[in-house]
Amino acid sequence: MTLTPTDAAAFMAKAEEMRRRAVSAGDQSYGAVIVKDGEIVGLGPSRVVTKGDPTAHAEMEAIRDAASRLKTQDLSGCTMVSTSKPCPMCETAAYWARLGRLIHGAGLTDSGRPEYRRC
Amino acid sequence: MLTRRLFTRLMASLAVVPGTAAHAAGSLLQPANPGPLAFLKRAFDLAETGSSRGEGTPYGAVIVKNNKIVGEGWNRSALKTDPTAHGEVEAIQDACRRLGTRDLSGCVIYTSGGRPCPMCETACHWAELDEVVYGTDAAKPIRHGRPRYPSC
Ligand SMILES: [Zn+2]
Ligand SMILES: [Zn+2]
Repeated sequence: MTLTPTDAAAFMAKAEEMRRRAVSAGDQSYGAVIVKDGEIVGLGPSRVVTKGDPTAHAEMEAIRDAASRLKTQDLSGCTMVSTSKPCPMCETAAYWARLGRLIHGAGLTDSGRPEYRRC
Repeated sequence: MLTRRLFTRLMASLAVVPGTAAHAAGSLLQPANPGPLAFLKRAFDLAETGSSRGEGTPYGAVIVKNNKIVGEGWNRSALKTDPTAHGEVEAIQDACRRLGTRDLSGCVIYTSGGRPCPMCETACHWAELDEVVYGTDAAKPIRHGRPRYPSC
């Protein structure tokens, strides 16, 4: 799927909203959303602190939310927009979820398809 | 008489994260002869239990602290419709709930199968686990050392 720069900026604004939601809940300052066919299908404020769960990064929460809403573990055709570059846990989670594309940061950096990296 | 407000508050105080109650509430089975072999065997048993119920792929893990199992997990990706619900992630979440902390330093994870995938190994890093032990053969635990954060 393709996202115009204007669309990407709009979804980043939503990811930023998730980041602010996390901060106001006393959590880490990260947010992410999952987009499919121009619609938001998953929301992820970081919940590491509020859930006491070291795996509850914003991107993990967004993937969990999208899979739950769409009732499938296969998120191919979806794009993840996150406020920061996903860590290796989150990028590999995006790989397992078969996400098509990752966009991160205020500069809307497009890192393409998530990869399974060992180094 | 129990007022509605008090009742609501009481229920809220009992509430746990949805879908985790049964998982976290049960007591953990401790091996008769604790040690690396017994812990890895337990991870294999959990893998078998989960997959035989159709909850996910056959992988299990336990978290051990001071020679005692403090968390357990198995792949529940199918059950939860959650691609992140690998055995290691489930075990980390379980240990954090039970110990009331997301700092699992002083703990070792034993996981059935090959080296944890980068999602799980990085999750082990964030949880500050001391060591990862895995094995495709339950009789041959492989000590991987401290979880590594892929730096590529
Ligand atoms: Zn992450
Ligand atoms: Zn994994």
